[in-house]
Amino acid sequence: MTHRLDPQLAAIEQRLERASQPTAKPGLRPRVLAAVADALHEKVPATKSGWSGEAAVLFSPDVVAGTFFLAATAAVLWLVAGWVPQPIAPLTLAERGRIAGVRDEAFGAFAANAHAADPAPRAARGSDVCARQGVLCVFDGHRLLEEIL
Amino acid sequence: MASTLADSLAEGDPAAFAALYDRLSLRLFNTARTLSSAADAEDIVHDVFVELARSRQRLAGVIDLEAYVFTMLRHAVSRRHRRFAIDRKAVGLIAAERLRSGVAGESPPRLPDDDLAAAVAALPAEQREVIALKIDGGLTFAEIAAVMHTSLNTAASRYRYALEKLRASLATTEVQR
Repeated sequence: MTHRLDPQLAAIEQRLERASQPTAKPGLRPRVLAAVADALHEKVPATKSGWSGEAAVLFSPDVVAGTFFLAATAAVLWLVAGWVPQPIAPLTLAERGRIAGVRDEAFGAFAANAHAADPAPRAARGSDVCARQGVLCVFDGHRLLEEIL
Repeated sequence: MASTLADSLAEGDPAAFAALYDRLSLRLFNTARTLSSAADAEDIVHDVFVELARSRQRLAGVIDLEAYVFTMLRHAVSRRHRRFAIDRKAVGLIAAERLRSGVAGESPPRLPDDDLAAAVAALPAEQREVIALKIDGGLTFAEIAAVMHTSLNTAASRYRYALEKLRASLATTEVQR
């Protein structure tokens, strides 16, 4: 950008330029370059705040933001859906045996009513057996699909 | 300035830092001297180059290296002013006490540009910065605008206002003699 100044302002500008003569001491160059060399050989460049490199990575904006995002997501799920992550425990042998027994009894009831033309009563009969044992059974009218303890 | 120099600096090439020093040191020194003092200017330039070396990874891809370095200089001057503000206040109190008790020695001899230096020192900080970056730093108004995070027109206007204030201030000084 060019600027046009009136003669008086131009004179002030020229006076400023004359006063701004290079005056740095010759000894400054080796001192600065030696300090630069030391800084270049530092193993982990210090951050602006002076932290070590590891701490800077641990508390870097990306890591902090990612942690905050995960925590915020879990909090929202917990508040909105009442969702709490829980581990799914494997069934014990007793539980498996109980389901098998229920299945046999339910299938027996189912088979005992096999002569009925309408499948719905058969499923209802099997479901009743399951319900008495505290087990939810799912029938499709012809067979037992699954049972849920 | 070529972006390759910035890339060399980012890679930690000592020769690149020497080249940057040879290119900018005098302008940086004079700018720091105007913004701070001759006594502080060398330390400020020293601090800027050490900070450049330590944070060299940030230099990769820097387009306007001169504006980047002068921005660092500006921040270094601000930090130094904050750091020594309390010290200066204490020194001022001691000096005032010495004046009251008549201990102060003779005034130092006047230099030809003392009036000009005093007038520049009396400028508002933003105008003094523009003068330093333009006259001492040799930056264009576009570069000054980038360094000061302002518009090009604002940078140019501040420069003109500063010159007008200097003209008025120097005229007043000459009338008083």
